[in-house]
Amino acid sequence: MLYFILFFLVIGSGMAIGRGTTDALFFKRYGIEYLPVMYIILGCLLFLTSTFYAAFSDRLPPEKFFRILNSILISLLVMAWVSMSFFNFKHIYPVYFLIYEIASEVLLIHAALYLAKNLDVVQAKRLTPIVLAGSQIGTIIGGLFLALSAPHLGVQNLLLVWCMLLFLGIIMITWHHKRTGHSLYFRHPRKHSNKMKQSMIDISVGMKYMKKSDLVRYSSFALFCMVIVFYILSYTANRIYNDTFKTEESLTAFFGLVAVITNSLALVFQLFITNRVIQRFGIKTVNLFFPFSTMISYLFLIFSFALPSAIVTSINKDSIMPAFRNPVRSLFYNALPNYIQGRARAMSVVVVIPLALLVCGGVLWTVQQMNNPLYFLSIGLILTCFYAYFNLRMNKAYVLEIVSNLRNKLYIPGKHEQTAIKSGGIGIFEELREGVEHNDDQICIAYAKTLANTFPEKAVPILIERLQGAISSTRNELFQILVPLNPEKLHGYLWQEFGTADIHLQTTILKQLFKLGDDRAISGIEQKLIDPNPRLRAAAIYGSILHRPDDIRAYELLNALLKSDDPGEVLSGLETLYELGEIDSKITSHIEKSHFIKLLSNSNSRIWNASLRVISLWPSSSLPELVQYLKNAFNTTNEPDVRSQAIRCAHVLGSDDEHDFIVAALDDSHPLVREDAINLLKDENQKETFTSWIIDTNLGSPRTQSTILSKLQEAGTPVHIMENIALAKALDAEMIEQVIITLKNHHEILDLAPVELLVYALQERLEQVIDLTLQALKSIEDTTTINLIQAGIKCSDKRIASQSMEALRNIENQKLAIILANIMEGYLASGPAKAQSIQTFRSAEHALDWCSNRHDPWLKACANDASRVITQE
Amino acid sequence: MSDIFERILLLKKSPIFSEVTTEDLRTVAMELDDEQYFKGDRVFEINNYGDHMYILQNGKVGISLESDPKCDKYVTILNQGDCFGEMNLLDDQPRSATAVVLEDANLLSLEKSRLHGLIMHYPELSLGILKSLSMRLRNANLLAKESK
Repeated sequence: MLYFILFFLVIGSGMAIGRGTTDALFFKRYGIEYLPVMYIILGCLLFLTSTFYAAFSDRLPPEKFFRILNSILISLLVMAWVSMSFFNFKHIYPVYFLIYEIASEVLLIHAALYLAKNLDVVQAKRLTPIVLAGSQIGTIIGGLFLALSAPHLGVQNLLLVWCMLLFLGIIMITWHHKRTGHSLYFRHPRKHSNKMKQSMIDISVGMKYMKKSDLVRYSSFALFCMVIVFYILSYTANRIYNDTFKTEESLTAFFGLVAVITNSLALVFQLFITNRVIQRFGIKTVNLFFPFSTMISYLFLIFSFALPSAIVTSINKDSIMPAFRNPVRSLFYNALPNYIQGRARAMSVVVVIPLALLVCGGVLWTVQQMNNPLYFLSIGLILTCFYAYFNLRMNKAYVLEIVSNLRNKLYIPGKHEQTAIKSGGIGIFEELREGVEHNDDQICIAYAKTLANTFPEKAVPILIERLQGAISSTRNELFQILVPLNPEKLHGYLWQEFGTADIHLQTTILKQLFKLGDDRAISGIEQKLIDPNPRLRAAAIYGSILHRPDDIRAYELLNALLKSDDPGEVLSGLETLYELGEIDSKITSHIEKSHFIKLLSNSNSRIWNASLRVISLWPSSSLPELVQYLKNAFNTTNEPDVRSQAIRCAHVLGSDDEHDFIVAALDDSHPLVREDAINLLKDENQKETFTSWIIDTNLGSPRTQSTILSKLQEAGTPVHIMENIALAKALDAEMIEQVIITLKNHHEILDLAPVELLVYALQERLEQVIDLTLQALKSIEDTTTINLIQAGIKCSDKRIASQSMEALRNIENQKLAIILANIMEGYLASGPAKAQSIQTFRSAEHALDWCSNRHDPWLKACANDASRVITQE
Repeated sequence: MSDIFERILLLKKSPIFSEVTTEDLRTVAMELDDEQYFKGDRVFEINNYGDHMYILQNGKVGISLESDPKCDKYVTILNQGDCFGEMNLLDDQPRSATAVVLEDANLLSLEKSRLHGLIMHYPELSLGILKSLSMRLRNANLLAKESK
């Protein structure tokens, strides 16, 4: 690590000396008026060198490439020095200028590659800023050296100092890699591959992606404007410095001083401010810092074309830009899909920057003839406005890019099946028809249901056709699908089938005919009531209750069926009651209640199950005596269907018992049971009650609250209420995180098994409460985006998780975004407990008390157990 | 700490059940049966059909690929929290190894139909099982590599 810092420090010092001497020698010995021409040439050279570098940089180990690069640079610098010192060759100054510009660009890119090939992703994330800080300190030292030595050593002799530093770099790199071997993550590329061609293909892919991606498009436009704006600023500041300082020594010394000031400022910003500002305001806001500060620089220069304005300009381009603009731009690139990131960068370096330099050089060359800085400053200011505009567009495109990237990677379950099927058109319809015609009965029924739901008009002839030759049980189900569609001639068809059907199917047909109000079936009720078969008798009872509600005889027969010792007869009776759909007090008054209740204790599970189903249709508050029975049925079974059935009967209890029962069921582990429970809450002020449950009482587990929240969302609860809920949940998550931190900081109790279990439970709760917050956010923000964030943060892929975090940070509601992002960062890092910035809990006991006082049964149980053991200890 | 809480903690630390929340592990824990084995006992034999998987509460169990009872070569030795015997509950094939108790052990056993029911109810269990099988495959690859 120390090696990397020192190596970059040496390279940084050399670059500072190079920068100062290049500018001073070129301005004083060749003429600043040629600077625009240099920009034009630089644009062309950058295109060539960047393409060449991209094609060949990974052919050699990066340390070897560094050695070659430094050696070439030393040779060129020595040649330049010889030309300056002994031959007074005038054109060597623009050559030296170009050598520096190209070398600084290539060294900058190669330094990043060298680090990447020596550190893994996690190390790189942590150590790169420290290593780059080393380079910055080197620049400060180099600047200081320039300021002190230029008047004494002579500017051109400083080239040799730079040479020595480059040579020192070669020694360091050779020494280090002799000890450690090749760069750890360097792999030799495939031989014979046409790298130049590949490099051009990569750039063209980046160009094509511009059409598809708003982010790449606007960031390229922004970069184009930024380069022009930057070089106009640079040209302007240099003109002022050149006019102010008359000798090349004083100018070089001043450049050294400026380097010290600007780089020190940049270092302070990078170490202490940049990350905090990005965390606090988000990258979208920070992305606007540099355009804004550039605008101020231009205004300064327009109103005062003098040294103070030039210094402000230098601070802007050499401190603000590296501290805020460069890191933010890298973060913007991270939003792009992996395969495009490198290509988009290559496209920027090879195409956008050279093109912008050509334009900038051309504009400056033309405008400087007018001999009034106001012209090029005005152009710069206008382009800064464009730059700011494109940055704003980039900000908009940023979240969209992350969301579209996440959408490609994550699966989001949705309830769009029917819409998708319908939009599938004729192809899907044909597939459904084939499914209905399938020989397997279960497949046929499943397809028939979907067909009837999605294409009801077209379904009838297909279903009727499928009835031909179908076995009895399939026909039975197909009839039930067909009847709600009520097609023409169905009555006739049903009667035709009735003649040939078995008893089971006859019962179904008869009941369907009663439902359709068929006169022939109604007139036959009397005859069927005395039929020896209990099924047909039950069907007649059904018809009688539907169409002749005052006929007491039907009820007598129904009671007889329910009292029968034959389970088949009892089940027929119960089925008849259930198929009525709604059992009002008029019907119940005819049923022998005491006997009916006895059916709930029947040893035949089919009978008590069917009884429960019937009770779910019973009038409200009509069977309060069933409270114990229902609670037992609910608590003693592992079958979610039975628990669901029990909770659907809750309305027959007294209102207090019903409420308690429902609240208990809201916490059930099965979602269908919870949904049934919530559907029973019919409080007129339910929105207020539910909101109060979630916000004030914090009732039940997150699972309970999630069910309640879904209900509120279905009911169309106003946005401000959902916002309050989201905020309350975010704050709750913050508190849970504080409890976890407090417990983790008490190492003495952390090994106790109950505390360990509690920490697990708290971590799960934290995850669930964050999920609840996001669920509430769906009513405030774009649902798809929140769905993607939810899926992304649960994903085990860290890149996707961090992209989801970034999307979360950039949602509209910034208040919530900041709270959630802070919590989630700790949660995703899942590292050791961090120090508490605010001491919410004074002790572990205090934190446990907080858990015990929650209305969350599981957390309460865990916390009580942990408290008990800690007290014993 | 009550027995059920201890079981939950044990399950939470085992690879198969680690993805299930502690709250849901309450239900899972209730489905498990206690079984006690002594040193030298064989929990199951290679090539036999079985309908239970096991979680080691304490003690040590060796997994051997040999059918010979005298053989004491073990491909792996399992400790507290480790699961074994789940493979044939999923593929309905005979046991692929013999499990021998090396130190007196308390096991929690889960019957096949209950496991299937639990998987239907808590799909996260499948992820845990996949993780555990993947680990086992890695170990097998490592052993194969070492033996070459």
